[in-house]
Amino acid sequence: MENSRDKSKQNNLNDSEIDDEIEPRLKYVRMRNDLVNILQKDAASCIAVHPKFLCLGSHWGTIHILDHQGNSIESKSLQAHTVAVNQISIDQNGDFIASCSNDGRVFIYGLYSTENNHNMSTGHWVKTIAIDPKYHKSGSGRRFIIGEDKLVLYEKTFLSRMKPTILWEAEGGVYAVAWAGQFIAWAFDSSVRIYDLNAKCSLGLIKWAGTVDATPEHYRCNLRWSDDRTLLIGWVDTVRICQIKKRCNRELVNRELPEFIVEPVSTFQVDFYISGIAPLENQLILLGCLKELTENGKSLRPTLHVIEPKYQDFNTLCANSLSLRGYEEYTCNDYHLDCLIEENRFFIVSPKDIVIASLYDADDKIEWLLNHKKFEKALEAVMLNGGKDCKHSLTDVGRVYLDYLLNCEKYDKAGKLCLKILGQNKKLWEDEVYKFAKVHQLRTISAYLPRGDVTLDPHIYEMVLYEYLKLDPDGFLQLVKEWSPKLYTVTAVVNMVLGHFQVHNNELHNVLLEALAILYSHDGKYDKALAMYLKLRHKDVFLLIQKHQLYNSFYDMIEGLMDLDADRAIQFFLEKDKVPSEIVVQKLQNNHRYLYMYLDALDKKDTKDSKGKYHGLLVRLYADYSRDKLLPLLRRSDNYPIQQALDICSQKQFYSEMVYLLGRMGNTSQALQLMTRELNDMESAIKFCQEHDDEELWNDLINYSLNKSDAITFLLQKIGTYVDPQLIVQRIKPSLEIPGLKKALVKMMCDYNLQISVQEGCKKILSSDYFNLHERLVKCHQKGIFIDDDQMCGACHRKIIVRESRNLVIFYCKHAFHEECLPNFQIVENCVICNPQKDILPDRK
Amino acid sequence: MLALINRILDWFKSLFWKEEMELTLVGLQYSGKTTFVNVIASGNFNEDMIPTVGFNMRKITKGNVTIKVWDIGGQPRFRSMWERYCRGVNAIVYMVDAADPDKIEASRNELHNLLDKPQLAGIPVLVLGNKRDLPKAYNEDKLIDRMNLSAILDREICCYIISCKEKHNIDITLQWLIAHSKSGVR
Repeated sequence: MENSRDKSKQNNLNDSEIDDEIEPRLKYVRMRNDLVNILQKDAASCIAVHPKFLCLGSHWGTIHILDHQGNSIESKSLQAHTVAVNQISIDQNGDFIASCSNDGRVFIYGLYSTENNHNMSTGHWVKTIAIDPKYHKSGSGRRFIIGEDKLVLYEKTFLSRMKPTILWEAEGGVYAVAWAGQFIAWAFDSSVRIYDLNAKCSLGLIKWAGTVDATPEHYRCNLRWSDDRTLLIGWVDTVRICQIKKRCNRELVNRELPEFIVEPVSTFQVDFYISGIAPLENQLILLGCLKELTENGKSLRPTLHVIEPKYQDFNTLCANSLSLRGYEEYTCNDYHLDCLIEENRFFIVSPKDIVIASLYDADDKIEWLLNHKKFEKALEAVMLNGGKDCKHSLTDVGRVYLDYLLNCEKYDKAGKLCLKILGQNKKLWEDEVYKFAKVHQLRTISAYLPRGDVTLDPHIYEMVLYEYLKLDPDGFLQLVKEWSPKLYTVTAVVNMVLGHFQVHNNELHNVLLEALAILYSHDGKYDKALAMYLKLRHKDVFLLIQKHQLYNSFYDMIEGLMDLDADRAIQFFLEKDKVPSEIVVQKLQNNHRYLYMYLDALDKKDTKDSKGKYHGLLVRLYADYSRDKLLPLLRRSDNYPIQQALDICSQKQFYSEMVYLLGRMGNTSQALQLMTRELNDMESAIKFCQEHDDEELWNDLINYSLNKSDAITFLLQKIGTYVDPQLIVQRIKPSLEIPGLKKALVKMMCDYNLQISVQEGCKKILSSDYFNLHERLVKCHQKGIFIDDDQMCGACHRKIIVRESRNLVIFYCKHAFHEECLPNFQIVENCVICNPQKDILPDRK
Repeated sequence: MLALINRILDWFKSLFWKEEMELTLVGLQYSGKTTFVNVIASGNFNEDMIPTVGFNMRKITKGNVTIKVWDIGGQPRFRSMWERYCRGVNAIVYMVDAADPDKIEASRNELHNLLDKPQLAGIPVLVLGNKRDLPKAYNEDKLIDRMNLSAILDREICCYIISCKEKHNIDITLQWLIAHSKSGVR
C-alpha cells in the first residue's frame, strides 16, 4: 500500500524537476495518515527522528509521537509547552526525549518510565536543547544541555539533584546546539564553537561573516554531526564541514594544548538560504530557500539539493524543488530537515507538510528508466542487479521494452531483444511471438526463434512460415532449407504451400516448387520431391537421391535426370552399382544419345564380367554418335555379333571398320577388296596383306593393282620387302604404262637386293654359329665324368659304388646307374631321369 | 557443585545487573498481539481491544530483565513497517491466530516475506499460536506444518501454542524471551 501511494505522490512532487533527463537520485513520499489531521489543526515547528519513530513539535506546544507512516501514537503524545516547541532531541535508544520552548520550559520525558523525567522552568526563551545520546544509561549522568542566553549543562549528581553547569555565556543567546559523543557544537552570535565535554575545553571557534542583507542572527544555524567527529554546518548561505582530529603526541607533550583539534574540510557558499543540512554518503543534502521572491512578494518552492562538497567549492548533482503545502507563506526558518543517516532517509518538514526523501533504489531506478523510455539502460540496470531483491525481473523489463519497440515498429531490434531476454523460456517466447504475429512481423523474429535445446510449439514455426509464404517466398525457401523439419508439422506446411498455389497461380512458381520439394523430402515423400526437382530441373535432385538412398525410386525419372545433367546423372548411375544397368538401358531405350553416353561411360568404367554385355548395342551407338571410338571398340571387344556390326558398318560405309571386321571374320579377300576399291589405300592394304601373310592375298592384291598404274607403282615400290618381285613383274602386262616405273623398279630392286643380302648375311652368321656351338658340345662331351662314393643309382637309389664290382652306366648328364638296374640297357639310349619314359623305368620291386 | 556456584553467581549478578532486551511483536490483525503484551506486562486479559494504529511501545520488567516491546499494528497498511521495527531487535515474536484457518496462509506468507529481508538475517523468531482456548485451534505440530516453519533454517525458531485468555503457556514464552535477552544469548 505504501508503495502504491509512493508512486502517485512521486509524480506530483517531481513535476517541477529541473531537468527531466537526469535520472533522479531521490524519491519523495508525502507523509499522511494521522499527520494530515494534526497539521490541519496545528503546525509543525520542529522534528526529531529516530529509526523507530518521529517526534513532531507543534506550534501549539504539543509533541506528537508518530510512526514512519505518520500514524500518531496517541498514548505517548504530550502537551509539553504552551507555545511552539523550539527543538526536540531524542537519545540514542529512543527511550527519552527532550524539548524546549519559548515558554521557558524544558522537558525531559521518558517514553517508558517517569524515573528520570524533568520539567523545569528557566524563565528564558530556550531556543535549543540537546540530550546526551547515552541518556538512557544509568551510569551516564543523565546529562542534557539547553541553550538560552547562556549554554547550560545539566547533570545528575549523587543525590538525584540536577546540577547545572554554565558552559558558555553569550550576549545574544545560543541559537543551536548539537551533541555527538564527547563533543558538542553550538551557535551563538555569529560564530560556532566546538567543545570537548571530557576535557571541558573549547576546541575552536568558527566565525560567520554577516552580509549586508542577511545577518546570521536572523537565520537558524543548522548543525549536524554526520558522525562522532565530523560536523556539518549550514548557516545563512554558507556551508562548512569540520573534522575533529587528535593532535599528534609530540605537540601534546610539549604544550598544554587540548587533545583534539578542529580542521576545516570544506567551506563554500551557495546561492540560497540553508534551512537544513544532512550527509548522504560522501555528499551533502541541503534544504534551501531561494533568496529571491516572486513578483508579489511570495516565497518560491524550497529546493532539496544533492551536492558534492569540495575544499572551497561544490558540484550540484541534482536539485529538486518541492511543492510543499503552503510554501508561498514560509521562509527559510520555517523549514526543517532531519535525517536517519544509516538509512539515507530525509525528513523535510514545513509547517503544514512532511515529505520523506529516500534514495532511489534499484527498483525505482528501473521504474524511472522505463517511464522515460530508457529501456536499454533499464535492462542494464536489471542485469547489474542480478535480479536480487528486485521487483523487476529481466523478463518483465524486457517485455515492456519489447512492447515499446513493437509499437515503434522497430521490429529488428525487438527480435534481437527477444533473444536476449526470453532465453529458454518456452511460454514467454510463445507469448511474444503472437505479438509479432499481430503486426505481421514474424519475419523479423524468425531468425531469433529458439531452435536448439528448446523448441516452441510447432504452430509457432508454422505461423512464421505462413507469413513468409505470403509475403516473402524467397525467405520461405530459405527457412525451409534452414530449419529442421522437426520444428514444424511438415504436412501442414505442405498443405499451406499447396493452398497458396491454388490461390496465386504463377507467382514465384519455382521458388515454391523448390521449397515444396524440400518439404516433401522432409516428409519422406521422396518420389514427389524428386518429381518436383525434375520439374524444376534442379540439380539438388542428385543430392537428395544420394542422401536418402533413393536408388530404387527414381527409375522412372532416369531420362529426366539425363535431361537435367547428363554427365552427373551418368556418374551417378554408375556409382557403386546402385543402379542396375539393365534398367538404365531399358529406360533409355528410346533416347539413343543418352544411351550412348551412358553405355560409353559404363564401358569405360566397367571392368567386371558384365563387360561387353552391351557392346553389340554400343557398336551401333558408336556408329551413330562417335565413329572414332568404334574401331578401338571393335578391336578390343569380342562381345559383339560380327555380322551385325559389319552390317552396321556397311550401312554407314565405315570401310576401315569393315576391313577390320572382315579380316576378323577371315574374309580377307573381301577385306582387301574393300581396302583397295573403296578406300584406295594401298599402304594399309599392303599392311593388311602383311598381317595375314597369305599368298592368295598377295595375289589378289597384285591382281588388283595390275590394272592400275598408280597402284602398281606403289606396289612395286613397297613389295620388294615382302615378296619376290618376280611374281609381280612377270604379271605386268607389257603394254601397261606405269608412271615412275624406273624409280619404282630401282626401289624394288634395291629393296629386294637388300633382302637377299640380308638373307645371305644371316646364313653366314648362322653357319658360323653352328660350328662354334658344335665345337663347344664336343668339348663338353670329351670331359671326364667323376663318380664319388656318395652318388646314388638313379634307379635303385642305393650307392652306386658297391663292394662287389658291378657294371655302371653313366650318361653325359652325370646320372649313373647300375647296369642291372637298367634291365634293357640296350634299348635305353638316354638317361631315364632326364628323359623319363614310363615303360623303360624298372619296377621298384 | 559447579552448577550451584554458577547459579549463586547468576543470582548475585541479577542483583546488580539489569539485563535489557528489545523485541518486536508482529502478526496479522486480531491475532492478539496487544493483548499478549498486556498479559505479560500486567497479567490482565482484556477482551475488548481496539486495533492498534501504528505501534505501541512498552517496557516490561520481568525479574532482572527489562523487555522493550514494539507492538506493531497488524493491518495490511502497517505491514510494510514491520521490517523497520524488527531491525536490530533481540527477537521477533510472530503472533498467529491458531483458531482461524482462513488467515493462516496469509500469515504464513507475511512471515516468510518478513524473514526474507536481508536486514533481519539471524534474528531469532518465536512463533506464537494464540487463542488455543477456542475449539478447533491448531496444535503445535499442525501449526508448524501450516506455517511451514521447517523451511526456515537460517536462524533460531521456536513455536508455542498459547492462550492469552487462559494464560496458558505464557510462562514458557517468557522464559524463552528472557533466555534471548542480551546476556541470555551467550
